[in-house]
Order: sequence, then structure tokens, then C-alpha cells
Amino acid sequence: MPELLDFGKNSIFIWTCYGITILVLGSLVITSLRKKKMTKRALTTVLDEQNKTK
Amino acid sequence: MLSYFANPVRFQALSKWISPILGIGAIILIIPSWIMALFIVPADYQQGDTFRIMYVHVPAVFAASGAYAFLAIASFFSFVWRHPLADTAARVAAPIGAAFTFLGLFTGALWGKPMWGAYWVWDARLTSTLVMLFLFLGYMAIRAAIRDENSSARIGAIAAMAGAINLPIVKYSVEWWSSLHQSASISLSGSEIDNSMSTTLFVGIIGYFCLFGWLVINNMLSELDARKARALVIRSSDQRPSTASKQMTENPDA
Amino acid sequence: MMSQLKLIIFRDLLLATRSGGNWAQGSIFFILFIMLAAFALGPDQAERGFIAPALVWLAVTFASQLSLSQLFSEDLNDGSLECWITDNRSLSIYVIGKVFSHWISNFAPILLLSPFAAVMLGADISSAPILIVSLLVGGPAMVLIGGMASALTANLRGAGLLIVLISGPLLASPLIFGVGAVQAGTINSVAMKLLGAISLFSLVLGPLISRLALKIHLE
Repeated sequence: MPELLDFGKNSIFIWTCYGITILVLGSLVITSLRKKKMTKRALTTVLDEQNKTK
Repeated sequence: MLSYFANPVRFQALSKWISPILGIGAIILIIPSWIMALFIVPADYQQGDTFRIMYVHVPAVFAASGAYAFLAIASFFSFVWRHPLADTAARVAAPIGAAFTFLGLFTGALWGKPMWGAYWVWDARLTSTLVMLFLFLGYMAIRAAIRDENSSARIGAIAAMAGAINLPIVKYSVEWWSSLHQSASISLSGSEIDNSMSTTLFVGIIGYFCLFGWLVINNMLSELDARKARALVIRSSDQRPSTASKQMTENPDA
Repeated sequence: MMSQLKLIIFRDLLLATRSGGNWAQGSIFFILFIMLAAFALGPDQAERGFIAPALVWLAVTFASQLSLSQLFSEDLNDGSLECWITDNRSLSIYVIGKVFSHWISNFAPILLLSPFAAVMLGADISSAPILIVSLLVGGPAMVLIGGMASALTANLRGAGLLIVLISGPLLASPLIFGVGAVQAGTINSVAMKLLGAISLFSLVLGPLISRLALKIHLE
């Protein structure tokens, strides 16, 4: 481990904390973006279908 | 003024501006604060490098408390004025708040191990955060359990408000309890806080709030789209049988 | 107003006597919990005696929430709640009456068993009066908070665990002060007063919330 990333005997605690934070916050962001994309797509297909039937 | 923004179309137009601001704000505040926290801020003279956990722990707990306050206020608006938008805000805020609460608890526990020698101490702050996690989970459970959308919104709003009224009482009881059972723990105010430390912490907290706002707005937007799509599908399926029955009445022999 | 209260209490107590012993479920759970707790803690009587009041309070807290799932849902489903409303009777009185009769039929038996449970766990018999007083003072809070959760979930089938999930976090306060009151050893302790304060607060908040929730279910 490079010296910059080494915080002595407690580095495992520090890295686990930052790791889990990045994991949870990252998955929150990714799921929100994916959900937004999917709902938008679902809405446009519904709108397209209805325009066609008209 | 609030009813002005309660219109979903206005909300969508407004969020086009606010969402990028919050998103960019979250990125340019959180990431530098972490870099500062990990590499630049000097180690605390009492706790050494363990202190660096504070920069992910404290913002998470702050954002979690803010999320509960947001949930309670949105529930209040949804209950009193029956605004569907306020209810959507409350419903999407709950899982996000629960995630922040979980992060606060997890990092708190990992901070506690090198600091107090135990992963979990039943100290007032950790314990009342745990209670808050259960309030979030209870709210989500009740929203999921009630199928009828209107009654789910109203019952959920009452549950959230009841939790918000009780949370200070629970917090006080836990403080009373831990002061009785436990020797005084290390308090943060006791250690000298370097100027760069408090700035970093402050930036991180603002960044977390930006992230929370961004997540809520974007989840609300997807919720609105999903609801719109559902409504369109229902309307079109309503129309088809009605035209069929119309044909029936016009031409009974067919 | 008093006549309405009397009406609902007598009706519910009569129903409880004819329910085929449903009222005893909480008490049986209570004794079971105590027995299993004793097994978990091992045969050392002195060690158990030290934490007996805490265990009894914990068992009472859970037992008091158990039988609550049907407190309001039966009346909501069979229409008697609607009749009560259409007769222009007070919903707050209804809630208070319901919770009170539940306290008599389900909580009071647990209360009577609690000193025996404490002694079985190895507590000194001299601590029994203070235990009973603490449960008398804190009982209303437990039943009212549980009633609130029960009213919120009244239109759901099999909401038993959901009730505990909602009321559980709020039950932290009565539990903390209840155990504190027993451990303080005197009736006049700060914990006992705070426990009473929580019960009084629940007496205001519980019926209010339950009323709102039942109104929504009736809409």
C-alpha cells in the first residue's frame, strides 16, 4: 500500500467506511438514474401507442 | 407560494433547473471534502487518523435527520392539503433517508471500534439514530402494505407525523438512559477542532444535502412519469370497452 | 359522553368473555417469554435476579402489543364502527373505550402475573409492589401506542408484525423509564414521573392519531 493511503493500524476501518459510503451513495444514484430512464421510456412507448391508435 | 409549485408540470419545469444544480453541487462539494478529509486535513491529536471517519459519518447522520424532517413536513403537506406531489416527495424520501441512516450507523459503528474499543456502544446518538432507521422502515412497510393509493398516502402521512412527534421524546429518553448506565464518552467538542477540519466537515454536510435533494427530485420525476403512464394505460383500457358497448347498443344484432 | 364510554367498554368486555379466551393469549405469551428468557440466561439465580425487572418489562412490552391486531379491524370490517359514526357518536370516546377495555381484558392479567414472573426469575419479593406500580403507570402508554399502530393498520389482514414494527420504536421511551423506575426502587423516582408523563402524553396523542386513522379507513 502506498504511504499516502496508509493510516496505520486503523486504516481498515477508514477504508471500509469510505468504501461502504461510496457503494451505498453510488447505488442510490445509479438506481435513480436507471429508474428515471426506464420510466421515461415506458411513458414514451405508451404515448406513441396511443397516438398510433388515434 | 407552495401551492404554486405543487403543480406537477411546474414542478417538472422547475426541476429541470434545480436538479443539475443540486447534482453538480453534490459532486463538487462531496468529492473535494473527501479528498480533503483523507489526505489534507491533519490527524487529530487525540484520535489520530480515525478522525477521518467523521467526514463520512457526521454528514450521513445530518442528512438522515434532515431526511426525516423532510419526510414529516412533506407528510404534513400531503395530509392537510392532500397534495399528491407532497405525498410523492414523502414516499421517495423514505428509502433514501433509510440509506443515509444506515450509512450513519455503519460508519458510526466502525468509528466506535478504534475510538471506544467496541463496534457498538448504546450511546444516545447512535441509539436514537437506530430508532430513526426503524421509523423509516416502519413508514416504508406501511406504505407497501396498504394497496389503495389514497389511503396509503394518508395513513403513511399520519404514521410519519406521529413518528416525528415521538422522535424527540425517544431521543430524550435514550439520553437519560445512557447518562444513567454509561460512563461519560468522549465528546467531540472536547477536542480542538482545526479550522480546516470544520470547513471540510461543513462542505461535506452541504454536499450530502445537495445529494439528498437531487435524489429526491429525480425519484419524484420518475414517479410522476410512471404515474402518468399508468393513468394513460388505464384511460385507454377504459375507452375500449366503452366503444364496444356503444357498438352493441347501436347494433344489437352484431 | 359517559354513557357512550360505558357502552363501548361493556360491549367489548362482553365480547372478550365470549371470545373463547383470546384475551389470555398475551398472558400466555408473557409467561412463555419469561420461561425462555430464563433458559437463555442459565441456571444462575442471582445473576437472573439482577435483570429480572428489565426482562419482565420487556416481556410485558411485547405481550401488550400481541393481541392488538384485531382491536379496531373487527369493528371496521363488520360495520359496527360505521354504525357508531352514523349514530353521531364521538370517535375519540370510541377509541378511548376500546383501548381501556383492551387494557382490562388483556393487559390486567399480564399485570397480575408480572410479580410472579419476576420472583420466578429470581427477583426479590420486596420489589414486587414497585414493579406493579411501574406497570400501572406505564401500561396506558404501551396500550395507547399499540392502539395507535393498530388503528393505522386496521384495514390490513394479518397486520400483527407490522403493528410491532410501527409501535416498537415508540415503545423505547416507556421501556426505558419503566425499567428505570423499578431499578430506582422508590415510587417517587424521577423515572416514575417521566413514565407517568409519557402515559399522559400518549393519552393525548394516541386517541388523536387513532381517530384520524380510523376516519381515513372509513372514507
